Amino acid sequence: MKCEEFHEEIMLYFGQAELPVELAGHIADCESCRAFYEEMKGMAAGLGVDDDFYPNELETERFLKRLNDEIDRTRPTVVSGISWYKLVGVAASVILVVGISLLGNFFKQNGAIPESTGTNLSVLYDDDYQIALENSDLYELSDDQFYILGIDYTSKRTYDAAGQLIEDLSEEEMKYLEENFNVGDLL
Amino acid sequence: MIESYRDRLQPLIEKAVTGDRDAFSEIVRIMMKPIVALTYRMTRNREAAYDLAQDTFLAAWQNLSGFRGEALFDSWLYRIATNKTLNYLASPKSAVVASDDYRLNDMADDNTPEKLLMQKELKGMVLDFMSTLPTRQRLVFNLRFYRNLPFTEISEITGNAEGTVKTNYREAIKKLREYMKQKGWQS
Ligand SMILES: [Zn+2]
Repeated sequence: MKCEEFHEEIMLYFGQAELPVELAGHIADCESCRAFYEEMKGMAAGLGVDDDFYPNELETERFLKRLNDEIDRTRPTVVSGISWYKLVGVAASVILVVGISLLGNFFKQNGAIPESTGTNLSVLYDDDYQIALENSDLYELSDDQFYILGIDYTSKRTYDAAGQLIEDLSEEEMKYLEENFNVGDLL
Repeated sequence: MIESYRDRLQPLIEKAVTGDRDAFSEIVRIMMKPIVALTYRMTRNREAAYDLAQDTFLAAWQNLSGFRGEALFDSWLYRIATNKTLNYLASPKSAVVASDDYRLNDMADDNTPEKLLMQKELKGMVLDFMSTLPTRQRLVFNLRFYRNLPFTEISEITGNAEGTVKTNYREAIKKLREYMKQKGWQS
């Protein structure tokens, strides 16, 4: 490896206490890389630790209280506040979004995925969009997939669109979705 | 540092998944600091940082039963926080001019006033620098430099390939080097 490449490697360990053996060995032998490493080390030390960003005990307890209040407040609403057909709608959308990640090509060929334009997904039009969005956090959705979820809800076409897309699936694709996703798990 | 809290978390997680609120509160006490530090550095807005942390823990509680043991719990939390933060940053409400309230907590008492001032200036500088980074680079810089996470985990948290994540980190370090030179910073 050339020294330049070692420099690139050294940068990856910026701020880390330990270096891989090969890298440490080269630094010990090479003046240029040693100088670069020392510079990086000095810079990292200058940035320091992040303990002053930490909330103190009082702030932590205040935060916890607010959180616990929120947990108490949201639990009953989430369960009883939406009717079953809305849940089905949310489930269908979540399944679709997860399904789309696996059947991406199919949807792309059919022109069902709009170009992502960075639509503002935090404008929440209704509760179930919020719920779907919160749950979707946990399923590794890409920006595009968030976008799909968002556009369906924001344009109020959710249930129709979800239903249409499900109808468009071939038997094989539907079977694949049914076998791989469990509505109960997702909600 | 990572390992130490992972050991403490493990038994608490086991209790919390069965619905133990006290155990969950203890988890929040442990994980709130790194989560708030992350959301704060990403948004540079104290209020937003706390709100995002709150949303993160709320979603974690609501989805705790869906947490699969094979993923690391803190990585899972970082992923939720990351998604929430990226959504927030993509929304118009984040466009409110970043505030300068980088003093989230008082500095340690054993520092001299001179040292405090220097550190404070440096902290402000680092935050200024970070706000110049593209979101993804800022995120990777935080997870790597301040949280000491391996690139494989950062890749899982951000949903980006490991190579991409490494490139993000290198780019951030190169920019940091330039920035510090410009500011006449000496190690
Ligand atoms: Zn060299």
